Amino acid sequence: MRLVLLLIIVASAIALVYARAHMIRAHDLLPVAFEHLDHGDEKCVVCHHNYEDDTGFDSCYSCHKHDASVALEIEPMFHDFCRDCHIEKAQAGEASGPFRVCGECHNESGRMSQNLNLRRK
Amino acid sequence: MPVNGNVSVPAGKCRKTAAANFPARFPVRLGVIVAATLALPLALLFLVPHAPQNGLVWDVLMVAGLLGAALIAALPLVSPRLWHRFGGDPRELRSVLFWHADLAYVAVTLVLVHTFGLVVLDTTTIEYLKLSAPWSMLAAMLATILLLVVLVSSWYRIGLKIRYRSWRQWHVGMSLAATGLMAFHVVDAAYFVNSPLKQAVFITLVAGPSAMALADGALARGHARAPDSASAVPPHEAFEVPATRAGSRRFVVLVCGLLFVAVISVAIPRAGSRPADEARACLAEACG
Repeated sequence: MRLVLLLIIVASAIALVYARAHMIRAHDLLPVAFEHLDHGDEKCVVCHHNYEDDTGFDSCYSCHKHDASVALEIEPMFHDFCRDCHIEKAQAGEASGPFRVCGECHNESGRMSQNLNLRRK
Repeated sequence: MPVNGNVSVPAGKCRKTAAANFPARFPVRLGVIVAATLALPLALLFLVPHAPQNGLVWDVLMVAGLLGAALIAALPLVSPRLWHRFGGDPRELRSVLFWHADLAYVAVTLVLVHTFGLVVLDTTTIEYLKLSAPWSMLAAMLATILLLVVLVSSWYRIGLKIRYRSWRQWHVGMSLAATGLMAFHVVDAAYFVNSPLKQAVFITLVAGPSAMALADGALARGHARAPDSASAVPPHEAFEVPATRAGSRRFVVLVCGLLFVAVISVAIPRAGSRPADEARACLAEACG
């Protein structure tokens, strides 16, 4: 009985991992409100790392959504990158962008959602 | 018929007799244990680096989640078996059991308020309830499901004809799994627990009661070999105990709740370095 339960738990865990990976790949990215001008104080390569390390091309979306090596990490990658920088600035008492309330970044008003069209075609 | 000690007492006299035998300091003592257990996670709010402020409602919902997780982690401290193990008065076992149940209801309510409150406040957070959500959010969902299963199985244990010992093993196992998953969620979300020191404090707070529950389980297995062991039957069935004074227990829970709200209202304004609106206004004016 215990062995059966253990097998069920292990099988469920494996199924969860595969189902989650499939869901992430199939899931549209949320629109992101991003004002380029607000980030003028940062060096370009902070975001556009491909200018320096030749790791990608085109928009962020083309690599981070479709490259199998990073596709599953897209959520923590972008959140850690954008949100943590905003939090650090806020904690230093500087002006910062939003850092927690999801809808403050993920809305249709930003240029990024219009220019880069983050929704899958 | 209600009983007091090993002597049956007429129903009409039960409350009066129980109150007479009931140590007045008992609810206060348990209240102090619960308050101290919850005060430590709340103290994390005051430590630097402060959590970013996102508005009172958002932050209160986040604190509700933190308190719910802390309460769940603290529940092994308020369990009849541990009370018995540490030489607590056997007459108080049923009361400890009710405390355990009441605090569990409060904890699950806080967790549900945290979950659905955030979804109502910002519908985008529903993305974190999908299978594509980060692992820490999936862990929180799984923990909540486990808690609900634990709660329902506790309500209907007798109705479902689940043997006490089997139910207890599952109860402890699922509760510990839920506690671990919630701790992972809190640490990975890194909202209030956002530095290595805070993480160490929080993990210690969570692991302590859980380790005690596990150690107690190991002790109980040893005792179960004895034919007339108290661990063979539910603690509240092993002793004939008086009914508790539910009013005073709920009063202490209410007072603790009000105290926590007071602490939160003091802590939250300090938790942010700059209000989000002010920061956005600065961005618009390109000020420093």
